[in-house]
Amino acid sequence: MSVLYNLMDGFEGALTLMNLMWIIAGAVLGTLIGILPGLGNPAATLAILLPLTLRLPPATGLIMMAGIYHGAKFAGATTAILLNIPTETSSVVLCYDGHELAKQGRAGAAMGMSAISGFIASTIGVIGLTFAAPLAAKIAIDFGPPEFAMLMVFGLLLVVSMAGKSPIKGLISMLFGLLVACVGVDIFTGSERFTFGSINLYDGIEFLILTLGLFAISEVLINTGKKMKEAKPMDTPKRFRDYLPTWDDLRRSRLAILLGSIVGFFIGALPGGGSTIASFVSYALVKNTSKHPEKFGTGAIEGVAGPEAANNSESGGTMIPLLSLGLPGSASTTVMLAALLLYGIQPGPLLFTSHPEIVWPVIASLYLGTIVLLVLNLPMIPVWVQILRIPYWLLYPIILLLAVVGAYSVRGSIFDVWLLMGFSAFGYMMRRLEIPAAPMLMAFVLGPEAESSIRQSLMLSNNRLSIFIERPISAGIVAAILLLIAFAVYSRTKHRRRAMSAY
Amino acid sequence: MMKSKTLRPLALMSSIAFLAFSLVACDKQENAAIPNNVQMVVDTGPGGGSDLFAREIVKIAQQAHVLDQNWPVLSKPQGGGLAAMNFLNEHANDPNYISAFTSKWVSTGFTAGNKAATTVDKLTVIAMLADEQQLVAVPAKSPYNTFADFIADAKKHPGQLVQVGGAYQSVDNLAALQIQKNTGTSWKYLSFADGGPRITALLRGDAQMMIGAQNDFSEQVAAGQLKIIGVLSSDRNKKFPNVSTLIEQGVPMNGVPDELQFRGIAAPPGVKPETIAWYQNIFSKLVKSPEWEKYMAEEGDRTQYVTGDALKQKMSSYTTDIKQLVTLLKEKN
Repeated sequence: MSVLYNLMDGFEGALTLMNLMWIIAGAVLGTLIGILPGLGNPAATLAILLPLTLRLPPATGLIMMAGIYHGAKFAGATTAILLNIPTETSSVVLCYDGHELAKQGRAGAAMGMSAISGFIASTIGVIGLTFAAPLAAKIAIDFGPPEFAMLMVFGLLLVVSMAGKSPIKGLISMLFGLLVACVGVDIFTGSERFTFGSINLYDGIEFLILTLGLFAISEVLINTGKKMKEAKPMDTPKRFRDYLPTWDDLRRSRLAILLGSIVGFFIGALPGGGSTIASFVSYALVKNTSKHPEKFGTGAIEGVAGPEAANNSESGGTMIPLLSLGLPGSASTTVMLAALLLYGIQPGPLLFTSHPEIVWPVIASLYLGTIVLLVLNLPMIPVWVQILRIPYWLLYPIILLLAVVGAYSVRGSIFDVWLLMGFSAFGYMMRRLEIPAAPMLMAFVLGPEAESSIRQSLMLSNNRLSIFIERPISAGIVAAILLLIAFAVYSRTKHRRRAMSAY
Repeated sequence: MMKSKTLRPLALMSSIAFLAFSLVACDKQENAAIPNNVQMVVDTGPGGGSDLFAREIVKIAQQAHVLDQNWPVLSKPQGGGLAAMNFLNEHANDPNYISAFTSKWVSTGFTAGNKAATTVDKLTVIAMLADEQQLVAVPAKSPYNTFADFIADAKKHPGQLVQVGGAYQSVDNLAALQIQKNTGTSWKYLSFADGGPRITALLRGDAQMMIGAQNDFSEQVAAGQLKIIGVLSSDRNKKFPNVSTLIEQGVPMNGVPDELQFRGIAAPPGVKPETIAWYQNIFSKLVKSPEWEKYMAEEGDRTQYVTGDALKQKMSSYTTDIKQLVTLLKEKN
């Protein structure tokens, strides 16, 4: 019960007027960053704000940073749903169903669902952080290269399975993603791969460049071929009630939210886990346990609820390795670690006992932050949906502008802007050939992690493949993969048989 | 009439794009000798080692009242120093860019396959600031109590033990390769891009040993999860005074530079002597401040303020050592 006392103390520390103000400031700023890719990713913004944060007391500074991190996640869904542009790796999955819903005039429902499931999930995540941190930290340590390798293989299998109508085209797209992911200097041998001697390519290609090219600009390009006057903006609902998900939506998504929250929390707790794989695994789980897997990809509300839940409960999970091991799990938490260090606080296994006056207010502020975000986001949905009403001749130049500025701002490199142009042309070509871009993006994110963990595992085992089934957690994931494949095959053949017998 | 209507959106689109490009191009160049708008270039992203070091320098210099401006930190992480060095080289003669560099830049210059890459000797090295002592850590329940124990076990199990670390050309791997050569042993080097998984690999037992800085380990040591079994430099570590150095343990260290990992300040090529003097004035005051002393103690670093001819001497002897180690690395591959 001492946890509850500590949490109460934490609320006492967090509930000052100044802290509340900074929570709201952080949430608003994070929301803006999530919506405008031109402002850069959350990690970069956190870094820019570091000097400002350091002028605040430690707990307040961290509270604001957590607000930004949370806010950007909450809002990352907005651009994916409305414009089909994922500005964060974790919102790629939302393009499958979220944008489809928007096309059907249900943008408000999709956004409302993402806000509500995000709220429930981040609350579950923070509760998990409060009570299960020591346990999750222990499991996180047991997660080594073979376990990660199998998790990533799992993820890549899902990429293919979700390709939509043509699995071959999905596979082609995925292979492009793996190829682009290879660019850079290999840390195992120091050899250069596909760098063409350019130092700009030594650290590989940035996610934002790829996503802005493949999704944002190529979308603009493909539409310039149409007559702009004839192309009508998407439908937007007329009544406020239509901006919210219906009771039926919520009922259908119950299980998806729960599954997503649990998956997101545990994957977030792994150092190096990340929200991308969390949102992706959750989508696949929700799809494969659904009674109507065929509806996914055509605008299923569960396809928004599940991954958004995972994405948001991950932020509770990701604080576990940071606060209890001193090991950051993502780019944003690395900056938070930097802030702690600059405050003169060394995070580590002793942080909870040595600096309770910082840890508990921060955890309490996460509870408050999710409430602030829900209150902030729900009434704003009708406003954001108005983006869909902007005529294309005005919307497209704005997208182009934001994309170029966004690409430049990631590393402050004009080379990246040229790279953006290249990927835009590539994305245009893919659209013309009807090759989906999402598998390429997913493979790009998962590929490097998959490659390095497979190589690390084989090095540890002297190239024996048995390492993947000798270790219990790894063997468990292998079993889960096989089970899921079997289940997917079974449910699909059953479905097909039923369809056949109906004739 | 119809035509101009379709052209209008196009014109708007292109004018906005033009505006974006011109905003990006607004990067003024001034070449006076006295810096007035300093930016610090680092080779890591936000939260990385050099990024933190640069931010600490600015913070401490402001606290100690030797600096009243704010120096923003500019991240050029590509290629572990190569992009940052190239950036400085492109801004030759510009007094407003300096870099918090590490000794890693010397080795990246040699391991890079790129012949056009800038190397440290092309830059103006202004000062060496600190030497970051390298320690050897093992899990707390490990049977090794000294690094000599580890070497003895490595002799019994050639090619079986695992050292965990970062990129393959990083200094901890270079030093380990030289020690393997000196002692006739061999072990594996497991690479992780991020720091977190390195420590968990030790805790999980996937790796038996890691070479790193004091702050990579101090919290885990305090929590009773790791222990320190050796120091790579000739002096003992102040925080762990009971841990003997590798030399004391009788491990042959010839070929391994004593200051394996140091940090310093470099400027673009061709900056004027007045510029160098201006910076040295700030840094010489900085390293004497009590705030700096405190920071060095926390980090487990030694202040090593070296400038002028002594610096040239140090850089060239370090470069010779590293050249040798890189040859060793290439032989192994």
